[in-house]
Amino acid sequence: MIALENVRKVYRTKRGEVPALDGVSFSVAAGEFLTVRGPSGCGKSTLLLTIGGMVRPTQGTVTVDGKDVYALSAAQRAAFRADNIGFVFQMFHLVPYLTVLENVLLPTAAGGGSAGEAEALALLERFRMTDRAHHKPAELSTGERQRAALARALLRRPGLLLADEPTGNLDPENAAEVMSYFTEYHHEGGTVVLVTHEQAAADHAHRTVTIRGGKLAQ
Amino acid sequence: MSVAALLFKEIRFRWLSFLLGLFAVAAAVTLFVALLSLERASEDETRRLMRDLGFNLVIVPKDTNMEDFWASDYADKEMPEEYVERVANAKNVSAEHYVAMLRKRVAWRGKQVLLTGVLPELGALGKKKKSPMGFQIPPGSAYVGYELWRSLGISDGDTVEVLGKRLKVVHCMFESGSKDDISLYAHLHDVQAMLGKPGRINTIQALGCMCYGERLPVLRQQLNEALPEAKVSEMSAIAEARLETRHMVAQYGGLILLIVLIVGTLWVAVLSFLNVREREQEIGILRALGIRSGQIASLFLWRAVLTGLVGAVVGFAAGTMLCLQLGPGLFKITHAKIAPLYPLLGWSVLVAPLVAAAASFLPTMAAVTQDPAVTLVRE
Repeated sequence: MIALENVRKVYRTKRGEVPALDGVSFSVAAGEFLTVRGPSGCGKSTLLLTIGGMVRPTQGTVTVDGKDVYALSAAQRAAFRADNIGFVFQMFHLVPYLTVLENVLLPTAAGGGSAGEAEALALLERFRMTDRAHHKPAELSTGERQRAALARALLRRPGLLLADEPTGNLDPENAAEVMSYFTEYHHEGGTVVLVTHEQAAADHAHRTVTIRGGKLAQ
Repeated sequence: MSVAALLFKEIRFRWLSFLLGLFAVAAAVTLFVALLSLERASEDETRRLMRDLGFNLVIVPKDTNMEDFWASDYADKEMPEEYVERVANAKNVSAEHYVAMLRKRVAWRGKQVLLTGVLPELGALGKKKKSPMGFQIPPGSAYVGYELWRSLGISDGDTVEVLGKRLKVVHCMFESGSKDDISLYAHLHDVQAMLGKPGRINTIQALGCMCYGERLPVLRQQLNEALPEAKVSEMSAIAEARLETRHMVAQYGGLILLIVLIVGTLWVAVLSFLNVREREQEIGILRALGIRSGQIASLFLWRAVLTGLVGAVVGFAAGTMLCLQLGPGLFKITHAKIAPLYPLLGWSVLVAPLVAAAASFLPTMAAVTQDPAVTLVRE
């Protein structure tokens, strides 16, 4: 499903070059649940965004579902992302001026795909959010926000779900609920790459890789 | 969910930010429309005031001695009355408001009087007919200068006899401090009859072009081609005064418009930057969801275009109202002519969205090129 080959990412700052990833190579099988762990600033989020076609590596190749992601044009990469990858972030990133239902429907703005309002409402029902469908994000609890973000990520039935500390802002109860949805998605055949600090979240995975100083430690 | 729906929902959510942008554009367009409308009104007023200064060209028979002309205020030579039609109908003479005159100094009731016969004005061929600048005296009537009517006890409606012809005084003129105060004006044909000079004139007065450069040599050449039997002289002080006034109005108006344009553009650009900054994470998530950079750019550019469009309409209405309110106080003579300049609406609607979009271009580029690694993982 995913193959990273000697991936290197260097950020050029005013203070010089900062390596975020340094020769990272690994692969993730289709249907696998992988967690990425490591200290803050070690390059975990950069790794996730690199896999998702959001951050072009300075060196190396990233293959997702048989496609060299960075060999695609920007428009092709955007379409590929829309069709194949779902993102979930720690800060939810719900669009504040849209209702929950509209946020879940946001991926349809990219065009393509057949998912519509019926699918969105079904996802909201699955995540116990039906009564919140017409609320704005500011009116939701943090657990509800993350469930709405997860519903948005899953609207177009992506084969790959990339999550960056999805339970980082949640209390244990909500974190457990959100992780149960990840597990559900995984059991339905989805591939999950989850960046986390938390052992409880990592316990859901098949495999854990650790990043330290931009390098794969395990 | 369409990009257009996103655009309108965002505007409704951040209405204050949109209103501030709208205010910037509307303020700029208001000033633009008000200034141009007032400048147009000012031009009309200036033209009218300057016109009231009098004609600035005198066309006299070619063999006129100009020393005598300036000393006596009329040419000692004469020319046929038909010359006024010839010069007015000439294609390439840059002047208008032609008035044929016959003027002589005569003794009347113990006074030295400048007896002046004038023909109704002729406009230049091919130019829009304009309201007359000078007197339009009907046959059998007279306008009497201030010193004459005051010293001779003449009043409006009196009948006076001048060189054997009876004329009705239709207007006792205000004191002007010029030779008009000792002048008696009548219809040209009446004066020709009084002086025994039918079909003759000795001066054609006209209003020359108000342009910089070699006015007089050009005009002389034009006149030489159209009417070789005559020559032209310019009352340059009047001409320069007109020219300077118009130039000054145009110059200051242009400067203010430039400042308004720059300030308005910067304002819209700053607001666009703030909008992009406020929406960094939203842009990041849109990209993560597969929405293309072009679609994201269109969100910002259409927002700017909408700001410009609505601002242009509001600004045009406000600027026009401002002009209609201020105009009558500023332009006492021509205020009735002040009216909305509808072509400015077209220009505003065309230019304001373009300028707003141009001002938002850099912020938009910043939006679509920002690093999602920075915005999406920021806590």
